[in-house]
This record gives sequence, C-alpha cells and structure tokens, in this order.
Amino acid sequence: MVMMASCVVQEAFGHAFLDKATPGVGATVDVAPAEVKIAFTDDVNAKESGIEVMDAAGKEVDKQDVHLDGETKDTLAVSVKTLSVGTYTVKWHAMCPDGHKTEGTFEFTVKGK
Amino acid sequence: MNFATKVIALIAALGGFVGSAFGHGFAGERFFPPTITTDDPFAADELAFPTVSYFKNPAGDGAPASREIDGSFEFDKLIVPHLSLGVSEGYSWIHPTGESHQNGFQNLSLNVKYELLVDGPHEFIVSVGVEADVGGTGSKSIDRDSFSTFTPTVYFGKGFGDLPKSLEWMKPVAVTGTVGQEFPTSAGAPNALDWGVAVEYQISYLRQHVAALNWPAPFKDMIPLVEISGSTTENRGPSTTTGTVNPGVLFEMKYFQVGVEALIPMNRDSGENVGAVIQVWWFLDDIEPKLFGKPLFFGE
Repeated sequence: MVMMASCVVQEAFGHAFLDKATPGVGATVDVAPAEVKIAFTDDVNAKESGIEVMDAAGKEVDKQDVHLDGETKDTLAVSVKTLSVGTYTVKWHAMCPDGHKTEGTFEFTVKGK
Repeated sequence: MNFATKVIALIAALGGFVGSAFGHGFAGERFFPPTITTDDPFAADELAFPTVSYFKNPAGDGAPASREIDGSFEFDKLIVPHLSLGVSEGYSWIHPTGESHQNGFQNLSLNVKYELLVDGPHEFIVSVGVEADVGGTGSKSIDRDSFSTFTPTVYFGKGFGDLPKSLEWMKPVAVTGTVGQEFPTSAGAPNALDWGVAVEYQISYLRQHVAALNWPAPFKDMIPLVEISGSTTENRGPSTTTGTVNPGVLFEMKYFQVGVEALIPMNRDSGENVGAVIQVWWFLDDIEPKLFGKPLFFGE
C-alpha cells in the first residue's frame, strides 16, 4: 500500500503517451507556431518516433526534422512551415526504449490576429 | 513440424487479421483498461491482485442472507500472438445471518482468449474465448460447485474516437462487453447467459485528443465508468436475472491500475444492499518488458 501511495504522484502509463503539447491539444493560437512540440509520459526512441503536421486539406506542412527537444529524452519537436489561418492535424507515433509503441492525433487552430 | 506445432503456427498466422495488440490493450490510438466486473477483450500479460469485494447476498433457496467478502487474483499470459491463457482463484469469507462463518477457496477458474479482429482506425476489437470453472477444486465449506461449468464467451470493445468533430467531447467514450453461455456439467444445474458491459469516459483520451486539461495526477488519467454485469438462467426452473450496476472509477498509474466500484443490486433477486469492490491490475509488460508483453511462442 505504501508503494502504491508513493506512485500516486508519478506520471501514469509505462507507455509513451502525450502528456503535453505545444500548441496545446485542441488549442486556438493567435500566432502561428514555428514548431510543434510533444512532451510524452516516458522517454522515447527518437529514431522510431515521429510527428506529422497536416493542414485541413491533408497536405503535410512540417519540415520532417523530428528531433528530441534540447537535452530531454521525453519531448519531440518538429519544425513547421509558415502556417496560415486554419486548423491543423498533428499525428504522432512513439516508441519507448523498451519497444512499446503508441500513437495519437490531435488538432490545433491558428486564428491569426 | 508436428501437428501441434502446425496448429499453433496457424493460430499465430491468423493474427494477420489482427493489429498489434501485445501487452496493453490497444486498438489504434485507444487504450482499453482492464475493467473489474467485465472482462476486457484483450489477450495480454496481466495480473489482477488483489481484487477484494464486499456484498450482502439475499436469502434464497432455503439459505439465509449472508455477508460475503471475496479476495482473488487473476493471471493471464500471452502464449502465441493474440492468444492468452489465464487462471484465477479466490477465497471467500461468508457470514450467514444467524449461522457461523464459512471460509474457503473458490473453484479454480481457467480461461483462454483469442483476439479475432482488431480495427485500429475504428478502435474496435472482437475476441472469443472459453472460461472454465473447475468443479470440486474449491472448499466444501463454502458449498462450491462440485461440477464444472464451461462458458464460451464473446468479448468486444469499441472506442468512439472516430466520431465527427461536432461530437468530439464524446470521443473519450469507450464501451466493452461480454456475452457468454454457461454450460454446467451437472444435469441439475441450469444453463445461464452471462453478460456484462462497461461504459467509460477516459480523461486521458480527452487530454490527448480533444482538449488539454491542467489537472493534477492521478485525476488527469482517471477513467470514470459504469459496469453492468449479470446472469440470466435459462432452464430448470423459472428464468431469473441477477446482477449489479457498478459505478466507479479507474486510476491509471505507470505500472498498475487501481479501480473501485460500488456494487448496486439491479433487482430484489440480486440483493438489497450496496456492496463494493476494489482491484489492482499490474501492467506486467511495463514492469518487466523483457519477460512480459510478448508471446511465449512465435513472438515478433
């Protein structure tokens, strides 16, 4: 019971799930981002993980340069082209160092000023 | 290659109809948690320990009402891709009204489960299996069945992540269910239809797909749900349905899940008092990925 209680404040999931994204999941932003960043609940294998950003027409608008963000091991980032006003879909897949795979999708909207 | 090996290889090859679903229960982007009173549809390496429930049984068949506490475990292991074998055992403490306590082991229960179809984009899964309650393996002191019961079962799961954007707040909903037909080996025991359904709203799915929430752990990954499970006898007497409606919540942690539910009798035959159940599921493939999360044979 003590072990379980001590785990309460830890992150959930031994698999790498999306914990926080920038732009946020479902967010509407005034300024188009230069990159999309996803922080996961676990470390990820950058070579086996990826992020794609598509516009409303399904056209890929990222620069295909997925990389770990800085010195972190649990955050991926991808640069995007200049985004115009509209809704974008982010598709990601991740692999933990132990080989577990996860995937997900979310949207964000560029509103413009 | 002998005949048995050919059969096992064929079963593994049929997994071509099934997406990757090793370890945790995933269909596409949807994680289906193990649920307490309704078995989930996934063949995976899992350990439920302990499951502890309290319920007051109604009087019936000449027996007085009784308070009952059950403690149990279940262990399931992937054997070949998409096929798991499982074993469960429990211990009961029963206190009939006006009588002395009765304690003892329940009958051993075995199960086999095979994932027939996993449709990732639609977050849908169908599995089939058989559960066997092995008669006479439990304690006579709690009047366990001396005969065995076999229950072929169909399991399903559906996540609603494929709903249109206009219904995006419903996307975190998932439903799982089971339907099984009991065949007791005793001529005097009735056949029965066992059924159950779990309806969940996954906060984690909401955060990851619909809208960011700034909630603290463990609430940001909790899953409120309602399970309804019961059994309907079909012969050897008037048909009766008994079961419970179980509202509760699951909390997802890194290596385990804690679930707690109320057990509300659905009718007078099921009882008149609300019980409770608490369960811990261990995600073995995360605890020890070298040992668990992969089939014993023909693993990827």
